[in-house]
Amino acid sequence: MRVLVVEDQDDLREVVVETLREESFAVDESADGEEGLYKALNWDYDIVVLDVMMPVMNGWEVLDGLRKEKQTPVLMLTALDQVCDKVKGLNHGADDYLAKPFDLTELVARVRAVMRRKGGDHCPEVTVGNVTINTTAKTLRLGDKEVEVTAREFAMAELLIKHRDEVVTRDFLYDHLFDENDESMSNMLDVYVYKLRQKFGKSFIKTRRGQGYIVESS
Amino acid sequence: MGIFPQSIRWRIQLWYLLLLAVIIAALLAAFHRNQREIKYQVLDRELSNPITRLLPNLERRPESPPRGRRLPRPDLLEDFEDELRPGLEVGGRRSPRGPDPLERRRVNLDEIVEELAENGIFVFHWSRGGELRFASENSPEGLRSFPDKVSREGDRVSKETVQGYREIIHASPNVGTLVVGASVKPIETYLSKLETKLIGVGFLIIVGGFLVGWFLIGRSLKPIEAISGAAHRIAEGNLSERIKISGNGSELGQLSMVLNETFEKLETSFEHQVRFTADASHEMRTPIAVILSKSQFALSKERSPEKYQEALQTCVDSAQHMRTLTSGLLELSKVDSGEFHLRPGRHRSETRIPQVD
Repeated sequence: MRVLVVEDQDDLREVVVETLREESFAVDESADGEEGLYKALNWDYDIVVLDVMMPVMNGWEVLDGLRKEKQTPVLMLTALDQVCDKVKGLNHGADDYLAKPFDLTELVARVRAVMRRKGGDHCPEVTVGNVTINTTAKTLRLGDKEVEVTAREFAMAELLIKHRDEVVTRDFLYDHLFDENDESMSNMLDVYVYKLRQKFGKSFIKTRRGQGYIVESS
Repeated sequence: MGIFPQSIRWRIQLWYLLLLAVIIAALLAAFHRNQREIKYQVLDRELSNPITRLLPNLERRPESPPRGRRLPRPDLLEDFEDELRPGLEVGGRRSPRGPDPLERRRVNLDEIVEELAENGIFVFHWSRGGELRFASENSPEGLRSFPDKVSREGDRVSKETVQGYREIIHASPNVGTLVVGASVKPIETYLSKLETKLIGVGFLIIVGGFLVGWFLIGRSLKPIEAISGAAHRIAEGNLSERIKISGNGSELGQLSMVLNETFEKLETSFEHQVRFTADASHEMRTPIAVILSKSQFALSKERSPEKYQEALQTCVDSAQHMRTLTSGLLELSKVDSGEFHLRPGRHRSETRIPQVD
């Protein structure tokens, strides 16, 4: 899952980015609205965490610019917590709203909730075949038995299960699993697919030659 | 709360009524007194007239002039006819033929007295020595004593009111003492009726004055009600409320204007306060968010000492930022409250403003 954090306050952006990375998201960051809008328009993020009060271009303008072209979920982050500000944010097309100062746990929970809703899942636990994923607890189970996975393996499984019954291209996987600073080579994808197949069986992830990978629900 | 009520309306009303009552009472009393005087003057004139008519009949009686009127005791005068008889005899004795001039005077006197009696006027006549010589039939018993008014030279006229009778006492060396009097009862009755009427009129005037006063005071106090109503609503939190001013010229209209200006300033300063608080809280939010999330991040799991150090450093930086903010806000509030004064002067902006992105 790839996230864009647009926040002008360095310390805050840093801690939000670090937290989301620890939650096994691929996180990109922008220090101002203009750069944020550019990134949001040019990459397919799973969610944009957007501050309102920013130099160059404020959150509302970024949101308006983004909504003209894309339906990327947006979580507004702001120091304004008057009801009218919240209403304005939601009416501008934001998916959720969080007032500063916030709890990191709440931020993560909301980010997950927004992404889940966009994927059509309302429950954090989804079962595909005999594999069950819990995005909140970040666990993968084969039947009843919990299986140890690394953060990257989990992220890939989550992505594939979210797009179950769809062919997921290697580019898509690469875009959503690695952030802009990641130096990983694209053949790292093959490693993660191999590891997941080792742990959950060969039939969990199928390869469509020349197209990509697919996880089938039945 | 003393004897007087606290309400301004009632205070004004009470003083006003008191003043009105005093004035009305004084005027009516003066009128009453004036009426009384007029009535007495009329009565006195009525009583003075007979004196001028009687005097010629009583004057100069060289030898025992009041022949028939010499009475041993006043109570024997009950019957005037009896009184006359001895006079006639005496007169008859003196001039048996033809009417004696004295006799004529006598008859004349009787007619006058009779006529006077019909009008309720009585007559007494005393000799100079205090001897009652004549008294009308209708004269009251209690007054048949010598008034002790004697004149040795010239006429002396005095008036007095005794036992409910008005008397004019005419004393002269010639005639003796002539008293003409009448009851003042009709006057007193008239006056007491008048008094009742005047009290009624006074009461009506006071009631009317009360109503008019109530209306006028109510009208002039109306702005105060408006002021207190507006102040009430403002106290309840509706700071945009203003007093509706009617009549700028009146003192209360001016007061309302001053109060409205005050409310305006109050509202502005309150809005300032609210905006200042909102701005301050807004400015504080970001550093608080940093401290909160950085410390939560650091505590979420075991981290390396470097991470902890970094987290603490971030918290320290944010706290210092907040310190700068609070002192800035304090200075700002000083500027707002007027404690701080700007010193305008010429400066080169490049040297003053370090660098703007």
